[in-house]
Amino acid sequence: MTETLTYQYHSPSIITKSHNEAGLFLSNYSEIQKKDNPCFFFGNLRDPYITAQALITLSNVVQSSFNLSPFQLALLKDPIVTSGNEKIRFEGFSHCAGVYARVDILESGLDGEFPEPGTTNVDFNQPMISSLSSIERNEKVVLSVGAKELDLIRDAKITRERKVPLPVKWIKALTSVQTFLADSEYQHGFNKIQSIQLFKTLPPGKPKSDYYLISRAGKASFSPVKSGNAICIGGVHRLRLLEPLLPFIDQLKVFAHPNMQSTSWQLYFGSLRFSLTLSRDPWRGFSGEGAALDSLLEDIPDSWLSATHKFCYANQQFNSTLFAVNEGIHISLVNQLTTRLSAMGLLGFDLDENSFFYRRLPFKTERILNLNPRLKDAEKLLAEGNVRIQQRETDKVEARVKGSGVDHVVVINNGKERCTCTWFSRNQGERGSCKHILAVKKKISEL
Amino acid sequence: MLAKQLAEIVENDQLDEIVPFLQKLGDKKKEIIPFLKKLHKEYSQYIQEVRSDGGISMSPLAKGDQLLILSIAAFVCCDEKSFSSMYGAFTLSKPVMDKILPWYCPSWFSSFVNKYAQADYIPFNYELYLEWIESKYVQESDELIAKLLPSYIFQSSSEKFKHIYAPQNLLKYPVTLSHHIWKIFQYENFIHGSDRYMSFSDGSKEGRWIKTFQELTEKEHLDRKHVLRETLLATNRNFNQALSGWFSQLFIELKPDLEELNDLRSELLGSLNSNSSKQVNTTLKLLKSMIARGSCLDNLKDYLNITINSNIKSIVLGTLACIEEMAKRETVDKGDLCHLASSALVNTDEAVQLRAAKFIKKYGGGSYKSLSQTISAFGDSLFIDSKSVLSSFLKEEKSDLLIELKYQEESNENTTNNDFERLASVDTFEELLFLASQAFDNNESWHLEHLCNALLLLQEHIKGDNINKLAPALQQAFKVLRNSFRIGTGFLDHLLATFFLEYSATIIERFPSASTDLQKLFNKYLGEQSWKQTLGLLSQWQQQHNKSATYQPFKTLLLDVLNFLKQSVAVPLLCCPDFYPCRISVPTLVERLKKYQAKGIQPSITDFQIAVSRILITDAGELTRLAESQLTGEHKDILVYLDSETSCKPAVGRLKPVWLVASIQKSIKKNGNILSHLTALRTEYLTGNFTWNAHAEKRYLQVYDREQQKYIDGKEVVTDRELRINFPDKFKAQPSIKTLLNKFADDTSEGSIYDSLEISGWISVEAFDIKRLLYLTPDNPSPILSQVVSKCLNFSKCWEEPEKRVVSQALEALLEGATDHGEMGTLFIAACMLNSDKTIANYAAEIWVRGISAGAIDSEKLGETLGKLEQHEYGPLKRLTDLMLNTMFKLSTKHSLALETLIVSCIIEMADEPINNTKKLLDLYRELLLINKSKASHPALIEKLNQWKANTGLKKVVESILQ
Repeated sequence: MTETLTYQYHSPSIITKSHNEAGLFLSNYSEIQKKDNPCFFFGNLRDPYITAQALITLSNVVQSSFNLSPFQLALLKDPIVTSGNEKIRFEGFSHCAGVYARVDILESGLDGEFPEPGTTNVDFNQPMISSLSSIERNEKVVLSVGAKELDLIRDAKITRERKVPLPVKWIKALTSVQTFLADSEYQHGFNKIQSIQLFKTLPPGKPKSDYYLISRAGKASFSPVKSGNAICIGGVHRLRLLEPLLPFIDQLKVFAHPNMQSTSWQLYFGSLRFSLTLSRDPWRGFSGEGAALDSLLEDIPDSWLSATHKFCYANQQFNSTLFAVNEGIHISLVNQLTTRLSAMGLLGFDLDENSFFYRRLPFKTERILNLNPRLKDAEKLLAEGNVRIQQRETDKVEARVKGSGVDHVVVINNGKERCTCTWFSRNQGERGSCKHILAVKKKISEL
Repeated sequence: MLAKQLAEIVENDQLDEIVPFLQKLGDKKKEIIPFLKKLHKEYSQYIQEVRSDGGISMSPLAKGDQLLILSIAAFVCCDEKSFSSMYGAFTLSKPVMDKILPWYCPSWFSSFVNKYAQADYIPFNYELYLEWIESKYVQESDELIAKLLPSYIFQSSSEKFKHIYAPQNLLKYPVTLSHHIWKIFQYENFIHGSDRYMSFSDGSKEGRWIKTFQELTEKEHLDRKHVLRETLLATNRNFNQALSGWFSQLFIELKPDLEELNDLRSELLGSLNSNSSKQVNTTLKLLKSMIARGSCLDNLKDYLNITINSNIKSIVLGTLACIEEMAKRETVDKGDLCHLASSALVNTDEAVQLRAAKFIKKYGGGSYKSLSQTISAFGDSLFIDSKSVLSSFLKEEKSDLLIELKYQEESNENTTNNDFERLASVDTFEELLFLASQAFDNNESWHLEHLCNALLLLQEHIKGDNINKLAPALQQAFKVLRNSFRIGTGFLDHLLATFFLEYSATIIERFPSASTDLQKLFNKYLGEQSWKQTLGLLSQWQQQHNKSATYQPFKTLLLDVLNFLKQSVAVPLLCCPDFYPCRISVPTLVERLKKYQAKGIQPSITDFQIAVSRILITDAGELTRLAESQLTGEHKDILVYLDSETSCKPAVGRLKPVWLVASIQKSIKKNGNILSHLTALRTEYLTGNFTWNAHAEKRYLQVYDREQQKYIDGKEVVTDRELRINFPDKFKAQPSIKTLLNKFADDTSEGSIYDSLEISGWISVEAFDIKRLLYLTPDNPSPILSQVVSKCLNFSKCWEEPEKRVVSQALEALLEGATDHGEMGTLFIAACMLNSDKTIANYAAEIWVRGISAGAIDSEKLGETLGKLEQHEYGPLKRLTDLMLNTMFKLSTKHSLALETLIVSCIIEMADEPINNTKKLLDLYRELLLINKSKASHPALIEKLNQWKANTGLKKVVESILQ
């Protein structure tokens, strides 16, 4: 499989303007639907101004980079759009894959048709993004995700082709961020004034240390000092991406991962939601986290893929129990099911509805499954016979796994997993299991 | 044959011969590629040359045009990738390309050239690029045009290194002004700095490009409206701030009139989203004048809704000015405008708040009900003056708008530092195994002691199969020692790794057949059978890059542990903390000492000292009760002395350093006397109570004088504001005979842990040790803090990242572990409050906030210290007032009263001549007086205020305070 992904758009995305009416034509491309780029939505936006502002913010997220790698615009990854079930969702990551943003346009915000539900990449070119800021509140705006009729778009015959190195980080992050979202819990709610007041306490610059969302004297603020039930935010300056949207919100809700591995900031604007999820640290992308690794340990039957297609349509709430019953999957696997499917790029997570929704990433499945080096390394350890189970009792397993230069000890005791390797020693399991633990778990599951 | 010919051309530096040679190659180009690469590698080398003066210098092997010849050959024979690796200077120059391109233009030439759009340096100019486009060698790239064009109006002068301004160049080719010039507005380029590094011989002034655009529009070479529109759009294209700001300046200099502005309404409004605050401010000013002159601006409120929430004061004020102007129109909905203006009430600047408040009062009457609801939501954050202006809008009860706030008031805010969390002990070999593999990573500050304690107590488990299980930990220790420092690990981790190495060698000696994995690691990292040479490794440990003595107590502690391990003595480590982050409970310490006494073993003196300084006494009398019932001898006496209220001089035995530490503890907790006769150290080194002073010194900024060839005083004067701690001689002056006698009389060779609490040399990775160093004496942080202040807070800005880290970590340690800050602690907190790093300042403020809640900080003392520091403006006063306003203000009645006390004592200590931003401090003080319903009464304060009244800027606020 090539290491390059080529976005092939029939035309660039554009904004057309006539008297008090604008058209936002998003050009789409999907690696798995190469020949046929259908129209996913065509209709009016009920709140075009806010939608435009939210899409600008999304593009700011996609163009931002918070780690040390040099940012090259040429490598810009286009957001993906899932259209269906009367909703449209735009998803994107920062260049460093540490900030995830999603714009959800709900049913009440759309007045149009969904000719074909699905998920696709959409072209987010700079001139189109710049034009978004010209959309006004009382303007009538037609949104088209994928061309309904190519003639609608000027210069339709110009094919826009952009080759980018395979966005491994993006795809990996899209599969693992769902696991963090699903584990997150609602913590705080703020109205517009409180939100603006809270964001006024953001420290200037790019503080290297963690910040905490604390409450004091009835007011919430960001503080470098941990206290009580404070929510920990690494790279708090990344929240500045939300600032331009705050004057328009009805409400801000904050969700946090139980181990503070991520925080989600969801803004509500009537028929539209904007959510921003931050990784634990600015130098850690969701791509590097092993949150979903355990779920991928067992081979995934091909039948699941076809079953999800048969059973689900884009943006539909996903019911794992029903899916398991329909597909005859053992009930013990139900809990793992959603994590496994999201790790395969088949599910997203909606914090507000607290449920998964179906959407198939517009990338080849084999790409997605090939993205976990730790899992591959674990399989290599097993294939080379480097895992020895020393002790196996009901609630305890002890194994020796060959590492580089030494044999590591892996102990799984009452669900608590530990390894003597450097990765585990430094992260203490917070960033997913190490390859040694994964190998041991896979071995005992096969025994 | 071909290769030989090529080699000759290169060797003889025959530039003229290479093109004819290449032309003759025909299909044989590929044949010479391997040889070409070989030649390139050879000629690219640098060789050592001995100069005539005997010195040695490095110079390239290639001379003259040799590299260029090779580069031309590569251009003709290779693909893009290979050519890029052999690319030589001047290949893309006109003379060279003119010779090649007419007969050979590689298929990759266009893409190669256009890639320069992303490069910092472009080896060809606009004119040459146009030629290539014209000749169809390259496809035009808009991005590259935008990059090339800005330097086209400058050309070299006949004078060396000088340029001349030549705007007429733009008229040479019609395409330049018809198409290309607009690319400058569309793609990021360096037009704002295009003449920054040029020296001009024609007397032209800076701002040449702006002048060019002015002239081009005046002479109608360019459509003025088009230029204005593109300029506005360019301010909002997310270019870098400098470039966006330049376009903003261009727009100003083009002086658009009202008609033009009206035509550009949509673009103007869009420019309010610009990342350049200069453009936003400019647009707001223009919009205000447009409103005043009757222009109709639909949707303006949507944009103002964003700008009024800006963090930049001038933008908020500009927005308010627009709103005020709009309100003058009769047709406008005033209530809507008041709602818009109410967003400015969130601002923490008093002037901004007051202006918004006055506006709402003036125009808000008609929408009283809805405004009242909105404004009440701001109630708590309003300044008294704004509050009084808006009093009629403020409801008593909380606004309905305040939706549910799930956050809870912090439960631990009012807790004292006595509520410590118990640390899990390491009781099994499995626990030890996993602790050992992470102990060198500094995951937790107590891992060092826990590892030592576990190794001592679980010695009987370290045998047979278990020994090889320690190999990953040993490998980790080797890696720590071999690799350079990883973020997060400090010298102490190196020290611990060294200890573990020597310990592992001991195990190998003891269990040679069961320790094969450990032996393999020694063989791999240090050489065959190297474990045999590890004896004394720990005692010889010297931290690299650093001469600090501070590590000595840990080194001695680890040496003592190692001795116990070598002798198979299974005793607990006294100083191993059982409570977070470094505390030892009374029962634990007594229990541990009892084990020593039962075995008849003397504990390590260092271990005992650290344990005593870490003891956590929560129950009065418990220590005496347990010590008397379970211990005997000097151990018991020390603990009883520590707990007793009496200040009688104890009968000191042989454990003098422990007695000394106990007396320091007692002096802190019970105001006892320090047994300073037990040490030669001066008392300041035991308490950390050094004198200090802050001073300001003016000096001329040095500039380099070319003629004199040295740095001389320039015209600019800078003021160095410095904080200095006065460290006296470390040891008390004693007659030499007495010193000699003391030496003979001293029967213990062990020193006190206080002997070595010094940080010397450059700060490097101390940040990762500083917490552990402070936890040596958690109740007495002053000695170490004096070192931190002296090393890292001489100025109110930490110049280097390692210093900043040390300060942050020390603050964290104070917050987590210290119960008493001492003299240096107060100075440290005060200096941090004035630090330019906001995180450091916020941390210091948080220590004050929590200290007030717990009654553990002296605001008067802190205010006094701040005042002394500000006598010479150690840090800008605005930093302090902003910090107070944002973090320390309006938290609770207790905090408001304490802040008032702090400000009063600060003002009293400040200089008679007010420094910058004194008004802000006085405004805050006045606000506190109103909140606390108190009056300025301290005589020294009134005297200072009366002195400051002479300053016209302060007169009004001082009078208001003294009313």
